[in-house]
Amino acid sequence: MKEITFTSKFHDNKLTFARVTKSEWIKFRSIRSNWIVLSLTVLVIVGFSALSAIMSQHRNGPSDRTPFDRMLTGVNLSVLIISVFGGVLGSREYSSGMIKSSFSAVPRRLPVLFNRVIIFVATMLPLLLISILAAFFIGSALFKHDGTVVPKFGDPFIARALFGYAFYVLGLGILGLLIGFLTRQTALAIGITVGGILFLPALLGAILPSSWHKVLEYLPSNAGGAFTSPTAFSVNSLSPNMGGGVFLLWIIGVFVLTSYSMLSRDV
Amino acid sequence: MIEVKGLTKSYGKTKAVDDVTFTVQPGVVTGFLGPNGAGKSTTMRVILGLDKPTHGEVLINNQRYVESHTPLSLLGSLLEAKSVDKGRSAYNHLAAVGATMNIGKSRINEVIDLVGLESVKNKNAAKFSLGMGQRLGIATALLGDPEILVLDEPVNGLDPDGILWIRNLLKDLARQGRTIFLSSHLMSEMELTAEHLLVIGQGKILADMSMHDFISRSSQNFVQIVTPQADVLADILRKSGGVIRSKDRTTLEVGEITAAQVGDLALKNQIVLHQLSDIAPSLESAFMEMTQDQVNFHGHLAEEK
Repeated sequence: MKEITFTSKFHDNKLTFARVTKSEWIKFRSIRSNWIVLSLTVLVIVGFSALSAIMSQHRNGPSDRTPFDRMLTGVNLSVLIISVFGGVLGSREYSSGMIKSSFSAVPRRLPVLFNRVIIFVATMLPLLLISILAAFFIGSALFKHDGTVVPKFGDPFIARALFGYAFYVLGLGILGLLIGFLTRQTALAIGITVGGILFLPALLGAILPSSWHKVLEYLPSNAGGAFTSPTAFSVNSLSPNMGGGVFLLWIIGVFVLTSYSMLSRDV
Repeated sequence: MIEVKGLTKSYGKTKAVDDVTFTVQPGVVTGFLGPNGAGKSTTMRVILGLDKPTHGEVLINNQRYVESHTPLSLLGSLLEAKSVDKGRSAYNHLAAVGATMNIGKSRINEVIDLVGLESVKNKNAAKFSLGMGQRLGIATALLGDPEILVLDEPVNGLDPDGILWIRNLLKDLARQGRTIFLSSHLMSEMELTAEHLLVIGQGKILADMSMHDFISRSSQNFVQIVTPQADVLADILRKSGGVIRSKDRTTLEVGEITAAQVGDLALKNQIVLHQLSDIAPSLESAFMEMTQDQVNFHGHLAEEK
């Protein structure tokens, strides 16, 4: 054996969790389309809320939707945007091949997953809370102008419902992101998140006998939806808080599954 | 130093790599050769921890890569140029990778200058040509000033200038005491760059020796003779054990005989020689000879080891 030793000048720079957080932040901010999606989300949530409030002044007869629901019309559309966005964030490194660079730099792999989720939550949660609050207050102002009675922020359960909406949208985005990592394919991730999580429960509800409905209430989108209720009860038999808890358990479950898959599979 | 110990990697029922053991030493450039599908890329992926071994293990400077606290400075790698997100600029790609070990602006600009991408560092990688993508991949590999470099086909897509540059770069890096392990399909390039050779075929190591030994053990060397009496000389050489590989009116190519023997025989038989030269085999011909008949050579080499 040759007695040659070479020591890197970065020999003392250690890989740390916080440095992986920074790396994931650089990755997030340096893709221009990410910023377009964020702007679009704000626009959809706030814009549709205002539009819906304005439009309702021009309709005749009562609506089956409460003013609260109508103020948050845009959130339902943002669910689609954010689940797709999550799926793309989770899977795009697999389609570009970047994942090999990422896992070579962080061979333990899990810090990449944890920090991808952390950056997603750190950017999306404030953005969702602010735009949902803005939608609520702009909507309220427009409705008040018309004389419609709208709930106040201080009313019981309203603050929880607004936070619930943010949590629901964010949660579906996280599920999309995790499924992106699991499937490694953008199209499949979007198909499963949008088709399987968002639309399938409603479809199953329509075709399965009513004895099944109680089971369906435990599916992620239904459980998460229960948490957005602006009253003490939800449309489900699950209470809003129970629904929120079940939704959180789904996220944790898929997170554990994704972590296991990431550690055990070849890249 | 890369130590591969009893490595087996199976995909389903196919063994891509079959109980392979070798060590890549620091201080020299080690070339990794093998026909397509021989197990080169699989071996490299296992070394980088991207694929898990079915059996056996790989140690990088006496530790498992996955346990390293300084992965980027321990081992830099280039697998394919396609390890970059095309929506990101070259600078941001390096910044994202470097951030994991707090490697910042000055080093990023240093490697960008080194690979010659300074004028396009803020352009999206989507606009890069194959050669520019390759240079970005090399910059990524060098970012952590690594003690070990693992490069799969590094000259892919590089222009002649780039090929010469990377050849000299790799030799310099090896001279500093780093471990350099590279694969290439370009035999002539490998012959000029690598000092040590590992040859893999059908998942097994066929040869692990210096470039010089590998080439000189080949039976492909021959003597080239130019003479106006080619017919006469051919008969004489054949009787003395030479094997005529080709013959025309004035030129002979003869194997299994040395130039000195040919010269002596020509003098003894009073045959005029206009030219007499030993033709050394190339790495390419030595490699082809070995991989054409893998099983035979494997037994032969294993005995000697």
